[in-house]
Amino acid sequence: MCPDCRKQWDEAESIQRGAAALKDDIRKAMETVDWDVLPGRIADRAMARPAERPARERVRMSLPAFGWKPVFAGVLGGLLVGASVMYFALRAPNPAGPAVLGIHASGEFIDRAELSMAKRETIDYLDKSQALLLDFVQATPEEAGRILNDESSVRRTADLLSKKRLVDAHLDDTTMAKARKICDQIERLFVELSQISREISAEEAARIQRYVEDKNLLLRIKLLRGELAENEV
Amino acid sequence: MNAEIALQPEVGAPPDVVAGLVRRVRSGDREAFVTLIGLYQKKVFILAYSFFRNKEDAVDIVQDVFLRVYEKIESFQENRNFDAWLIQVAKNLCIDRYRRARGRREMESGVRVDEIPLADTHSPDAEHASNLKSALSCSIDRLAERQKTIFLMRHVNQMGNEEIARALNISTGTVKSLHFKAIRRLRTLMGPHLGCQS
Repeated sequence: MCPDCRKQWDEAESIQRGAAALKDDIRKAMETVDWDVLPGRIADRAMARPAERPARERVRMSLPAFGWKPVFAGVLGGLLVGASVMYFALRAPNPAGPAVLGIHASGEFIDRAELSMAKRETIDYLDKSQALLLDFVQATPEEAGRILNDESSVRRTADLLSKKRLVDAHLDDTTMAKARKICDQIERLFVELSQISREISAEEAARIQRYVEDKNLLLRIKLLRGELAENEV
Repeated sequence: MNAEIALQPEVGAPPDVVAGLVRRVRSGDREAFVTLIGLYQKKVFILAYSFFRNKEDAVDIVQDVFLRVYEKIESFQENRNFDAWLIQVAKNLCIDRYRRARGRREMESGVRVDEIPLADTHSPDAEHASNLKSALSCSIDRLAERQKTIFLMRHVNQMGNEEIARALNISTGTVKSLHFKAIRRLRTLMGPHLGCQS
């Protein structure tokens, strides 16, 4: 055995001897303990404690989460915090919000703003309708048929029919009664145009052109548009 | 009381006997509990004494351990090893008490335990302190908790590596590794004393 190994061996042996010496102490200490009496004494103490145990069980029953392991308590805590955050994040806006923000608008102001928006929407509808009708009326009957069959015209007609449904909501106001009459007439025309066969004849196109002219539709659109624009807020 | 008390604790009851005792304790059978304590009290005492080297502390720990066992017996799963569970309870209580005592000592002296010299060569007790046993006791106190526990379980409680592993809920390899580290650290701490011995 090399000197280093010898040294380590001796050191380990010394430690073992030290541990053996500790055992002597333990042995001596054990001789002074009354091992026959100790178990009975401990058992009596343990059995005398049931008075405390039910109380603890009651607490555990009434607060089950706190009797569980920390991980469950953590999960419960997380749920509570999450629920609180969701409540504050998603709860309905405060009805008194505008007042709190210091913004106030009278009912009259709101009515006027709505009317102004309705007029703008109607003007936009009239402008687009007028543009489409002009393209149709100013063309020869042969060209008019081709225009109506054109893909972009079909799409414009469909868009105007959709827009009319949005405008309708504003036309119920008494101040817009005149606009409703013309807008409804334009709508009926566009409905007819959208339902006409793609192979529209020149005669059919001429008949529709005459209808637009007879009703002075373009002129009435122009007048109504001017009137609405003049009264706009 | 026996005139000659063997250090080997009175354990050897077959697992099914222990399981039967545990069941009876659960139903409030005092005699079963007394028998169970009788089977394991010395084992717990040896572990506790090796921690504190004080009879009163060791007896207190024995009482605390069995009071805790009685309190927790409902949560003990029958498929578990009762010996390992008991030693785990004992080890935890020893470490708790040891930490409290260490905190008190450090608070009172203002010095960390690790900084307390192994032996004061200027004191009248220097000769006693240089004694191998005292030196080992002091050095054991300076080991890390797990190293200390494993060293004491192995050399004082005479527990095998596998039994220690079960009690501490770690692998046998970890037990061996921590034991090796404990020995190496003790050799360093006890260097001068070991030199005297060799």
